[in-house]
Amino acid sequence: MDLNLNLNLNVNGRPERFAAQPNELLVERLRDGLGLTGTKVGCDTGQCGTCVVRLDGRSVKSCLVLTASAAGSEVTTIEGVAERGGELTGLQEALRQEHGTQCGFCTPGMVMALGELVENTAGGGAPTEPEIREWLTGNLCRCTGYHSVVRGVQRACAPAVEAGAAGREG
Amino acid sequence: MTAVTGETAVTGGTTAVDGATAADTAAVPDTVAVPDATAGPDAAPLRDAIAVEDATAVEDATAVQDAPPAAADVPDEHAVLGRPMDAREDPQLLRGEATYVADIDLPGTAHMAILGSPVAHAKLLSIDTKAAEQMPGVLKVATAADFTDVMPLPCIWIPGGVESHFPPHPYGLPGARPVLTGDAVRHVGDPIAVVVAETPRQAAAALAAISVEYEPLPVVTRADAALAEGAPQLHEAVPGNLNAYWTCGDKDRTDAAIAAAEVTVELDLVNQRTINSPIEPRGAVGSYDASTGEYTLYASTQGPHNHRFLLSALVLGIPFNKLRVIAPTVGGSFGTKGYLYPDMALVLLLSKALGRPVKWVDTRTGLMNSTVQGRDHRQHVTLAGTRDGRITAVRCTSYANLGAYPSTIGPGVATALMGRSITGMYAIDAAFCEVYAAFTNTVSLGAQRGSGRAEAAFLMERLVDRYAGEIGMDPAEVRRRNLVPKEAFPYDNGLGWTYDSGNYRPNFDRAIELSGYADMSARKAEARTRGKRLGVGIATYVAICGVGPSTRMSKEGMLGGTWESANIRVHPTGEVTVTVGSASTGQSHHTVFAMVAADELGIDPDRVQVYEGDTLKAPYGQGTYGSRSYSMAAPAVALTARKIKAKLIKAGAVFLGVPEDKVVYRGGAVHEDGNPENTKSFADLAMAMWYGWGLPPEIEPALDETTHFDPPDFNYPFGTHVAVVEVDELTGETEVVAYTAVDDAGNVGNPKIVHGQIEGSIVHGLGQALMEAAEYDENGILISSDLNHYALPRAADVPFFSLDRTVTPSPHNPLGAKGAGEIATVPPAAAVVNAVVDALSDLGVRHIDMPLTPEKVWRRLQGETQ
Amino acid sequence: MILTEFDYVRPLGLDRALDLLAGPGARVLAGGQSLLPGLRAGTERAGLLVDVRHLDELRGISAADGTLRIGALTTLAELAAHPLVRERAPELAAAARANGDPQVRNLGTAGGNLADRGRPTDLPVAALAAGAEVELAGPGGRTRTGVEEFTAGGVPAGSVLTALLVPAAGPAAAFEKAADRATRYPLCAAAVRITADGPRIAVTGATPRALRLRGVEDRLRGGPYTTEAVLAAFRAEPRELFVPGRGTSAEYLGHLAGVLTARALARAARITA
Repeated sequence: MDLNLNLNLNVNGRPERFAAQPNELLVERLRDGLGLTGTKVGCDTGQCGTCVVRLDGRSVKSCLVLTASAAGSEVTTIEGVAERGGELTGLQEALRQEHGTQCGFCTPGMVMALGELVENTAGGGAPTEPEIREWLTGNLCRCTGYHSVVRGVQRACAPAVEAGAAGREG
Repeated sequence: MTAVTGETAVTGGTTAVDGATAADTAAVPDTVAVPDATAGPDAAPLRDAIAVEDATAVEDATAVQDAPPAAADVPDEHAVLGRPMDAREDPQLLRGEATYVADIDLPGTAHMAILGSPVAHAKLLSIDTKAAEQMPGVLKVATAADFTDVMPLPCIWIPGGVESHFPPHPYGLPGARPVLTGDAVRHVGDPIAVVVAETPRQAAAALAAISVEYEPLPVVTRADAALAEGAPQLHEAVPGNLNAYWTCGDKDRTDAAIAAAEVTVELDLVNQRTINSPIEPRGAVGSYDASTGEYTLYASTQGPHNHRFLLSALVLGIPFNKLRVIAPTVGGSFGTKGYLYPDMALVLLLSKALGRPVKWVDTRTGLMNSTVQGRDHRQHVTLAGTRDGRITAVRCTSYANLGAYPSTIGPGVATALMGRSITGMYAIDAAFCEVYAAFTNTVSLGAQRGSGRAEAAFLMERLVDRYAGEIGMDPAEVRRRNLVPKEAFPYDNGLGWTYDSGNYRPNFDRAIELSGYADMSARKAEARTRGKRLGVGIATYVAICGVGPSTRMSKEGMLGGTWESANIRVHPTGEVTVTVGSASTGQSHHTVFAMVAADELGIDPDRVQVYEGDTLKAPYGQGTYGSRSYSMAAPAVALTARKIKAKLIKAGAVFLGVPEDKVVYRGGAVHEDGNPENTKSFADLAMAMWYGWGLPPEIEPALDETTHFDPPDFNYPFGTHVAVVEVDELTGETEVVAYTAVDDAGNVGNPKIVHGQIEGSIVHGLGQALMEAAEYDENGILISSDLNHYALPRAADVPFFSLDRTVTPSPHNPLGAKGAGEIATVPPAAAVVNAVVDALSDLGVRHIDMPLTPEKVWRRLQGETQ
Repeated sequence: MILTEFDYVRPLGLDRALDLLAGPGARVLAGGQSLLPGLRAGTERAGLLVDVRHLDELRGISAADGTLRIGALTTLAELAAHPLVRERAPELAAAARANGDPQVRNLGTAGGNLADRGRPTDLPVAALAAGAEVELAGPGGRTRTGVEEFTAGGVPAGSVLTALLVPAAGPAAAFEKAADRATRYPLCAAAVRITADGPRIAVTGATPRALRLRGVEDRLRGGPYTTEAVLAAFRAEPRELFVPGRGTSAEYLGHLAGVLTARALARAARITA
């Protein structure tokens, strides 16, 4: 039985066409099929959050989505957030200033998950510390202890004037 | 005979290994509390050889405010270090551009999967791979029978100075494990066979088609049980499963002090097994070039040079020159990735066999059943003291669980690192520790962030609280009365460590003050109105770091050198490349080593590039472990920069046309003393040295220097942590509501990086206290074998911490640096358990084993005993 | 990766989905947040996945005649944030909010959470406390079933859960949870709704499945809902009602269910006061 399905996916603004098996996970397509290795794999059970991408705008774990089920959708990976070697987004820049990454393995997933939080609260009130911490429930980090990440989000969500005034830490 | 194995010691032979090291080391008498357990005879000249002028003066430790960033356009000397600089690695990491081993995709790569044993202990009767070989895409199925000419992995840190027993290795070295087991399986996950296929899916699918016939053997998972009469035997060469009985300290003196004491307190402690859980699982890519006969290994490793040596000479039996090891970006390690694992050899062997690159990436469950685990001591501990709060003796009997096979350095971690550390910050007249290190049907034991020292601090700090309760004295006051006084340094702790420098009282007082310790009774009363029991727990520590002095380490049973190297090359344009033998696993080495070089040379750090992790490009070094990079590799960088500077002063005399003693090096340039107009910039000097025109014969052209740094002794960072917890009276849930840490890592290069290391370390320690446990069932099955069953701390589990540092430089390296990366993992477990016991003390609770699950605490709230 | 092989179909309408589900080994794929981990672990099997995630007819939240109609494909994130749900069925919104993590809530659906038979989940207790019904579509058309009966039997083979129907009774309701540290699934959870007839109380995790505890309700009718009274009411339940789970004893979980219920009742009562 030929189990291959012909699928379409828009990834980082680029239409992709490919054949995939029904049991292929989105993270496999992204990493192995499309070479977008910024999305990571850190567990087998959907706990670690290193594979988080945006699917039609919402942050999801790409290891808990079938490629077939994502077909027709728009996917944004970490590679679609900033150009290679390019300028960082406000969130990434805030995380950089707070050293919100150490080994960096959980970082792409964190950036993708937190991007949604920052966008959700844009224009409204900044998220509280407990809200930021709760939002990070799906992202495990063993290096930072999360504090610098939380500070990074706080910095990213601070009103623009304040963020500008704070500048670089050093 | 006092041999490290049941075999004879090394027969000479074909490799460069001087096997005599092993036998000599094993024959070194026990280093019980002897002052000569410090560095060897060469230590003094070595100490003189390094420039220590800015580190020898141990100033009063004071809380530090980190200096603001340098503003000057032309940095002065020492204008860079000590300032919080952003990590240059971070933008790449934040954009997801870094290449980890799983991201490496060499042309023609085939994929390997490993069949691990599903049972914990069994004889292997037969392995049938025929069906697997017929599966789609399968290129090769291999078992132990395919690798009969491959040597077992060695163990290179054995319990020092005592008789010890290991599985054999053909060179008479202590053996660890074969690359694939052929006779028996000894833990769940023990590698039996491998499949290489065109895709990872095909390889994984084919594993299921391998049929293995097992003859079940009885299982033992606890160290104490493994030593009991009639326990199942794991290794023929290890009678009674006892790897070693190891001691340190003065037993008679300690026993006498305890017998004569006014007060004694005792505890039975379980320092439970934990799983390091770096978020990146391990992986390896092997590539063999038949044309040149060269092997390349890409692996998530903390020590590429070390792995190159061990793999080439002691496992594969190939020339050292034919193996290159590359550590790409490594996604966290915390101790696990410094070890030699079978997969590293297997990808190389199979790449040669197949003529294609072979790649293996572990799964989380695979990691949990194969990568070294941490802690796992069962202890009976005793403290003696006077009624007025003076500790007179401490004694520890520990059963250490080494797992099924010795890991590369596990036996040393379980003995010396723990045993010699138990007195911590306290001056104790009599101390003794004995460790029974045993093999069991569990995953091999290795280092977990803070290894050995965390277990030591846990027992000591639990005992101190227990003692304070017994004599009715404030635990803070008991600690204060027993701190090693400032004037006692260098301080011999009676167990084999000589603390380099310390000023404990200001550090301790700062933590107590910062935590609001004095106001705790009011906070306790307030919490009770909310149905919460508030508790406060203090834990102090001294954490040996900076491994280290090679001769000294040999006496501790380390079968290898532990020095570190750096090379600096100044390019014709005045840009600088630093290469080091260390290899980052997330500690921003590129940022920090550039700062060290820039600081010494007086140039902008942005002009300094750092490379590490590739044995072809980097000078030798032992890697990143034991918080050693800033006190081992960074000093090598600094000393190398000083060599460059010295050469520039010599050459500057020629270029400026003045005598050498009239040359001033400042801000990266040289000028004539008293005549700043007669100057040559760093870039001009670099170009002049590149051309080499006009140099006298005694000055070689070019600027390219290397230093191999072997310090005179270890360094001993220390600190005081205070945890405040609230225990829910109805559910037993424990919440850490405040956490204060004042650590002393000596002179700090980049406080921003260290701050991050401290924060992460504390959360790691809190994980052990509250939730983490590697649990094996009676059949030796690891229950907590994935992240659905092994809980890691999440962002919402921790509050922001109150952090501060004191600064007591180490005299043992030119930067005055001490270890920092893991030190703050050492005390949190003790601080939290102390806090919870404090919260429940009016119920008569004296101890609760970790992890402090709600039910465990709730049962104690109900008045049940442990 | 998922090693088990299955076929995949994305039907364009519910009728087509029901046709496909009549075949052997066919399973509904909605958010996939528990099915896919199960397929990865090999604890779940499927010959055909019928992906209903894109069926708009199973989406949407509306209110009519004092009842909230919640489409089965409503994501947990939508459920947690929806103003109507937060106002009229706060225990349901809180249960949805407590689920997993933001990424799981973004894909996980109300229907999937209610239908999950593998472990305690968050929504069933809330639905029980709310006195909700589920709407099922099967070969014989649409039927409505009380959640109590539904949690006992699950989704009948060949059927699709299409909607949750919740009496919109106002804010006197609450949900409390003790999450398993590793999975974030409930170690134990309780939901309550205070009605004119007394409290409706449901727990999960401590019991073999999500259950309404009528005995406890009877003992607490008329209040007061003090912690002592609630714990006493739980202690009066037969000991064998409670089961161990996740390395935790039945005794502790039974006690925890009482504590969580007491806290939920206190919160619900405070809202009405």
